[in-house]
Amino acid sequence: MKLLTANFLSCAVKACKSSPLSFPLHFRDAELASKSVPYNPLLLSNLLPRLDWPALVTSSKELGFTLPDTKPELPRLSASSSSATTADGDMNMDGTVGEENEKTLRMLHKTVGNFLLPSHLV
Amino acid sequence: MFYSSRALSRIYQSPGFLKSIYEVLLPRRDYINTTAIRDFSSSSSVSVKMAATGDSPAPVSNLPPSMREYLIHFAQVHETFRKPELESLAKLFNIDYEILQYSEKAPFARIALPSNEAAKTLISRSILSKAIYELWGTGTTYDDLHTSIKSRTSHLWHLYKTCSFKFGFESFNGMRTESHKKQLIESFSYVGFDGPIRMKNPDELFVIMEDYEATSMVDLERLAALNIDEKVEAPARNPTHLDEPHQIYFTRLIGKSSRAIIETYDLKKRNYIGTTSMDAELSLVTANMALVSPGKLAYDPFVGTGSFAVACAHFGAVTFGSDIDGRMIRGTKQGKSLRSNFEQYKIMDRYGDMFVSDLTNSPLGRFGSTEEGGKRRSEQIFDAIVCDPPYGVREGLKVLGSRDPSRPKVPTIIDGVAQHTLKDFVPPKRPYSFDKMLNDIMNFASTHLVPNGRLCIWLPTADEDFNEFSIPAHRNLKLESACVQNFNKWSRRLLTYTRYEVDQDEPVTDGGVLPDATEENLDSAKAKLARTADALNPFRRKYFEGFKTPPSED
Repeated sequence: MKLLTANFLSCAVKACKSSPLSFPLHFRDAELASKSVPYNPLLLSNLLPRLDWPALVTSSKELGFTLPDTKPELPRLSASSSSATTADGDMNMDGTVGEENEKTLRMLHKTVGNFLLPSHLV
Repeated sequence: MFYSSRALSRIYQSPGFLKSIYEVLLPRRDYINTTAIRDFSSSSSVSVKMAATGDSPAPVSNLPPSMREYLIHFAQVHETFRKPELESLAKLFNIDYEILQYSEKAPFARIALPSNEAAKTLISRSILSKAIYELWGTGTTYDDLHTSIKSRTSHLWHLYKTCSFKFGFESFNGMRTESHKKQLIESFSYVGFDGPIRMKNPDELFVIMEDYEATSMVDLERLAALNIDEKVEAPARNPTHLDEPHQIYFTRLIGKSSRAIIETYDLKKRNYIGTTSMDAELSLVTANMALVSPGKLAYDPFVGTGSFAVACAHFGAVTFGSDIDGRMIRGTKQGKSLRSNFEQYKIMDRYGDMFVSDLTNSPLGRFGSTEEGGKRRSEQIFDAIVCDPPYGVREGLKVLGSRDPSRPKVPTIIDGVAQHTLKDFVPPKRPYSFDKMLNDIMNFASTHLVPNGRLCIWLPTADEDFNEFSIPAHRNLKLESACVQNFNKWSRRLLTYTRYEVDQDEPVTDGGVLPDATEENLDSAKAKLARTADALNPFRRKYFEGFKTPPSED
């Protein structure tokens, strides 16, 4: 599961989608593994406008590292920034959601997140 | 006449009938230093205009100013995909072009492009073509061809006087003996190339191309005059394969395609595949149609073993995928997983992420902060969505939910433990209709593609009982192309759509909440669910808005 993915995902329960609390999902008991990727300016220029920076900052804190509070300017961004970080290994992610206060625990198994829902939430 | 030959020629035009390139040494002796005389008597040529730069051949056809004429050598496979692939690449690279002559019956097509550089770029990513060439001349006979070459290119000959070179031969649906080829190549000696002949990596490759396939003739009267009788019983040879070529081209190589990478991604050599993995060639073509390129984000909602994901990543996109069956992504054996394919091809830096999810209850999208400090839901994430959804023809389609729509929406609790909180809980699934799935995919693409993003989707054209499926439509998605792949008993097609920049014919919704299938209330959901039992009946087909009658094959 990647930090980047978490920036695109909210709770999959339909009733929660209209609630601001459905995003971002929160990492719990997660183990972070990071791996460097080559600097890809094309990707960054495409990606940055689509990122929710405050949510990314929140996620990064949950995983034990910090990002600047404001979205960096494009040309200055180095390869070591957010999109280059992957979280690897088994870890749990907890989606805390809207007024319904339905807590759905999303398991990550072999780095693959599971967002399937039980039938009472479909 | 022309149309009656179609069924037969389809059979004979299987890939095996395409002759591979023949390389023949051009003897260096016998060179006549011809003084170039421009011959205007060539019958077919229109007013011969020199290109402004003077370093390109005079065009055969009437071209817009500043355009040059090229010949594309296609592979004679997946014919209905060839033009849409080319059009997609022209769009991707923002290249002006005009197709001057094209037939699905033959591998040679003529195209106008602004420059050699544009030609090289356009073809560089093509999977269904082999190479692009500068067109030096064309004719229906060798005499015509020589006249054409002399009138158009004599001012260029000195440019190639000293470089190393090679002559090649491409014959389509016909062949010649080596000695005959040699003889024909020698007939080009008037161009006066004095450089060394190199079989490997010559500076310039000149190719003589011959088309023996009668049905590819542009001039229908000429074809009719041949009076080909295709109804001969047990013909010794295909009657549409002529004894002599009806069109000959002389060309200079400009650039090669990406066709060679099909072998790199061959499923036989891939670490992890499944029973429904899409073959390398068509996966790569699909990625081309989706305008995937470096820095873009691609997503496959039915990722399976990741055939499209790998193809999209090859072309530079960071690729995401999901599947309702996590075992497909993770793999069941050690070292065999979707991820391992990315490692095999050394494209891990473009492995976005893979997760387990169902399209009807997708976690993609968010309620995030805006620049102005407010909060709004946004779902436009991907530049491309590519998928080969399950067809549900043999095995039933499944989606999350209980089979029983009247079942109360409460957690299942056994011995005081809510079952869905257990680690090995497998959510129940219910049958899902093909039409409903299409509808959900279209809605999903509409909400999750960025403006001008592309959706590429593979669908069967008919089920086992030959009931035609219609082409799905959505108000926010513009159909770009429909390409058909024929199998023995059935066929499937690749549909490509572009997301309009703005939503069509729909009031702008307040607060940025996009209308989607998730907004329906429980009652209507139940009503729909009840109807899905008979998934493919005509009533259901009519039910979904925007479904059109299928177009004819042409």
